[in-house]
Amino acid sequence: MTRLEVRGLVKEYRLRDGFRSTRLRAVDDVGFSLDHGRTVALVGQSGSGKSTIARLLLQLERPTAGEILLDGRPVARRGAGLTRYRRLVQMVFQDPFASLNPHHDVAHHLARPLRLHHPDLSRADIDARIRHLLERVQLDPGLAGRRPHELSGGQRQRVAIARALAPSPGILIADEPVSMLDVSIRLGVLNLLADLQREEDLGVLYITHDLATARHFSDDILVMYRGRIVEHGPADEVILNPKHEYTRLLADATPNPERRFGEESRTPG
Amino acid sequence: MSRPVLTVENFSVDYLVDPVVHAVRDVSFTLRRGEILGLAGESGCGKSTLAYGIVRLLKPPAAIVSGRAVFHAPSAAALSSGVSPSSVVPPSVAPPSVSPSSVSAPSVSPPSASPSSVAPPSASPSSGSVSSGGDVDWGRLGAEELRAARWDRISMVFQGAMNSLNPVISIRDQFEDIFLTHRPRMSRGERRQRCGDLLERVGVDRTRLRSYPHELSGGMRQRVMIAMAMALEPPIMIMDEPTTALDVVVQRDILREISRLRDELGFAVILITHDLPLLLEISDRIAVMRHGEIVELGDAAQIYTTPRHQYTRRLLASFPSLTGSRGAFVRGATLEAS
Repeated sequence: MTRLEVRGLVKEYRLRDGFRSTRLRAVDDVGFSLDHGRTVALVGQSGSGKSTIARLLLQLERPTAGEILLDGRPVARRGAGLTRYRRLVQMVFQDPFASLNPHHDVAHHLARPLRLHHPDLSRADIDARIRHLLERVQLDPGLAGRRPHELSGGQRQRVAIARALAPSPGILIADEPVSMLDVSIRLGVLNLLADLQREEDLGVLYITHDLATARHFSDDILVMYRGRIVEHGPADEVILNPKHEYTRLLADATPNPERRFGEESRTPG
Repeated sequence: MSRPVLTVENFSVDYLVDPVVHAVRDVSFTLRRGEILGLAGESGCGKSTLAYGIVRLLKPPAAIVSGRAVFHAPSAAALSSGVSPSSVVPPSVAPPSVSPSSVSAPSVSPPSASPSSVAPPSASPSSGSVSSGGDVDWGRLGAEELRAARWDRISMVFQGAMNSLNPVISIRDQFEDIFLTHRPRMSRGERRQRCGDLLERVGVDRTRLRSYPHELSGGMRQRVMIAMAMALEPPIMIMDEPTTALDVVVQRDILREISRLRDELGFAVILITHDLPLLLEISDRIAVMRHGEIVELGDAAQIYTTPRHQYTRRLLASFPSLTGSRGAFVRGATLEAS
């Protein structure tokens, strides 16, 4: 039962050009909330500030202004409070080829968050949890001893998801979790995320530039443009009846064979 | 039905490692003038290997074990004789009377570009057998002939093209390289003029010629690469994932640009990507590849409405529709269950 809320979030970066310096407002007065059991998609072009929001939510960056609230209370910036926050808010990164350490086996990747966040667990408990986690993401527990290079892209991303689930978080931030994967396994990974979300009652922030999966995968869509949220609403509403000009531009730019052939012509596969 | 510009017959490529990998197996297709042929498939299915094989850019351990790629090019010799000298290729022999008339259309030279319309005949004597006939089997060309024919007959936008520009050489010098190699008689002024024209054609300001690659955005670099591929106005362009690293809005701009230029200049495009919705929207025909084989080749509309092969259907189902009903994608239910 976790609720993450941001209000008036602003992040500015200083850009230097010789002796002059200018300020770039990457995130400008953004407010939204992530509720348990719901998926919110954050869509926008590259450079619109999507990933900056992810970094702010993970406390990898300090916001210039605005506040982040966890269950109604401002989040802790240090100490035990921060540790608790880190346990509750987890991340799945875009590139499963870069986010796993090639020196360590799968079990190590899952054991570390377990040991860090649950120091009282015994070795046998941890082994049992690792097996359980691998089963949760539909991987053979026998893969625990393998290293990342022995796994396919889809298997690696499943390991990354299992790692994010290890400390039993309440919020999951997924930054383009399937864009590096082969097309035929993307839906499988997204469906897995959706299943886990329902079972664990997670709040998911799904960051993507793919409007089609954003529509089908999430409850609400936030459209970001130049650091601002220009449209916010239920997924179908935002995609089918876009209000803002920029949302329309994005929807028109997305490849859509139905524009050419019509929707009715497609036979059920 | 348009004249074919490229015929690929029983093309197979193996990677001679242990065990041998059959990357491309017995692929045959024809590419017609002005056509956009989409090549769809997942990573590792042999799309790029096929493209490299056609252009003869494969390096060991890859080897073309069978088949050939024959280019049917309109040339001065074919025009004057009126008859295609080659008897090797059935498709082009069938309509010999048609080919000269279609050649007379400005297929090689656009109305605006005067230097290039002069250039091909002046360059052709140097490249021997390449331009002596209308049809050329690239398997029989020597290294020098291949070097002369590449980019002139067929050009390529490589995968991750925007990172394939040389970072320490200005855009202008990289552009001029093409003309220095392939059109050595072109004057300096002409060359500069032409480089600027090409950049403007893809929507990049000509002052950018002075820039270095790091000063341009990803989309701009991609446009520069496409302009370079068009520099000699080849009848065929191969684009290997030309928009994969770009975001949707820039991707849309570039696709519009490719379609517009295709209409204007009449070149044929082989567009390689895994993004099936994108192909369905812009290509005329689509070939679906799997494990090195073309499992289905058909009209874009046919592939979309009545896919015949099981794999095509699976690939189509992997892309949830933007505006349509939820289709195969049922949130929360696993794909196998539906």
